[in-house]
Amino acid sequence: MLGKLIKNDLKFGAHSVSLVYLTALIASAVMGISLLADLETVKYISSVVFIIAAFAIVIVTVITIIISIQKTMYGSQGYLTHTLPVKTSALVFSKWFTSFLWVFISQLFFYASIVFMYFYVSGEDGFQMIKSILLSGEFSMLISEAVLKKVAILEASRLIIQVATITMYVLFGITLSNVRPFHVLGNLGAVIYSFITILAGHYLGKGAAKLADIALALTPDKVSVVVTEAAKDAILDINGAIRPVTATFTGVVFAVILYFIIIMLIEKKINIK
Amino acid sequence: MANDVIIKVRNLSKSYGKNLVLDDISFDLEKGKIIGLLGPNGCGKTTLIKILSGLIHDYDGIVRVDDAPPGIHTKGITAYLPEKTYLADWFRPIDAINYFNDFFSDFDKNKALEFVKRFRLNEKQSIKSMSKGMQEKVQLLLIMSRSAKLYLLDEPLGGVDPAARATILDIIMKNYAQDSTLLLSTHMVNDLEGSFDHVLMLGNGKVLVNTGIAKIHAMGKSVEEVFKEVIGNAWETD
Repeated sequence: MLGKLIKNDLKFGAHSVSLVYLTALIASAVMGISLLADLETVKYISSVVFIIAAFAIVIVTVITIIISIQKTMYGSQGYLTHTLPVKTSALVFSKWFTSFLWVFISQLFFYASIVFMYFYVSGEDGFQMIKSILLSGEFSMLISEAVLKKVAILEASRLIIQVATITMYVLFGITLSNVRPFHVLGNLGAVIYSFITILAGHYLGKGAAKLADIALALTPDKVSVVVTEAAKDAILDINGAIRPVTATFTGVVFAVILYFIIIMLIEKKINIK
Repeated sequence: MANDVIIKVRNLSKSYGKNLVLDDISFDLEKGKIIGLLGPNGCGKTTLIKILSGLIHDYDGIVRVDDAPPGIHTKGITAYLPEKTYLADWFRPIDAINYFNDFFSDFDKNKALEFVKRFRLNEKQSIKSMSKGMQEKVQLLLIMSRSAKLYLLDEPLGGVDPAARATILDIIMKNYAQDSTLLLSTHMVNDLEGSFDHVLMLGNGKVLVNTGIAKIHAMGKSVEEVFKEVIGNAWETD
């Protein structure tokens, strides 16, 4: 049943965000056309507009998803959603997973546009600069190529985890906005509670990192967990890299707890209006 | 619970804030009957149906459908038709049919497609471009294409004209699964009197009448007369 829920939620999501992606396509097309005009002013203006558009797409995707979840889970369409013979946990998981996918795609588009913009504006000079940094003796003294790859994988994973956890925070905010007495703020409540939950997750991670600053030590040979400052220094001495993980880990734990709270709220507190 | 009982309710109370909608009600409803859930607007019919279908959770008391509290099992055997449109506006009849086919094992896709033809609906027309009557037909065909043990129909005749009312009633009566139970809420007692085996009347949050049609007729009264009598009394004590 979970597979069927995800399949159908992807269809619902596609209908909701299709307009957003159409906008992205048009923005990309405008950029492509502006490439033909070899004028510096046009180049810079279109770059700024493109970055703003790419960022707006992330925001609009999030807002579209909030509205879609409100409708399909707690609005009139909730009458159908909540009379399906499926577990509440599967319903919540499916909504979270599909929302995460859409937000992640919009984020990828945003980062890809920044990278594209960098090379578009800086041209061959920018490419050469990055190449020289990566190949410079100083850089290889600081970090080896093998470690760099591990850092890149770790940071990419962290980005994915962050989008996943924030999606759960938003899902919690939407759910809370349908529970008495929090429901009085309506759709605005969904945005406010989501924002508060994101802040709570952020500060919880920071607080946990102060208590125990656990990090991953990346060396060409292995990846290990380090806690003490001495151990971290030892890794840096051999050109390894240290990446903190406490905040990310705390975020994941917080998101999992929220997942179970959402299920409990749906099963005990929420009446579909 | 006796084997012939499909719905068992004990000491059920539900309020919205300070407004007590269902006040400590208890009753049993038997399997295989067409049951009229009657009462004036705002008497708790929709609330009761929503509790039975698993949409309302914060109530006091015991509710059992086919021996189980509202949950996955009861949702699998219950076909629920709400008052409002619950389909996404971009859905077309074919999308809704595929959706039901995905989730309800008792759903008959061929029967649903036959209904689409019979109702002269375009299976590729979006819900948002349909009239209210057409939307109701789509929801009705989805529900009546299931072989459910229990049908919960909330005011299925509420928003339709008298001509369409007869057609809809005919579709419901001819297509619900044999041996299943049909709980149909309405305040149009006159139109449905001949269809019911049993009536459950609510008023002022209480069960005012829970009896078979045969007993009412044996008293030399019609359902409408009993309805006016008890609902009138309930209003007077309000």
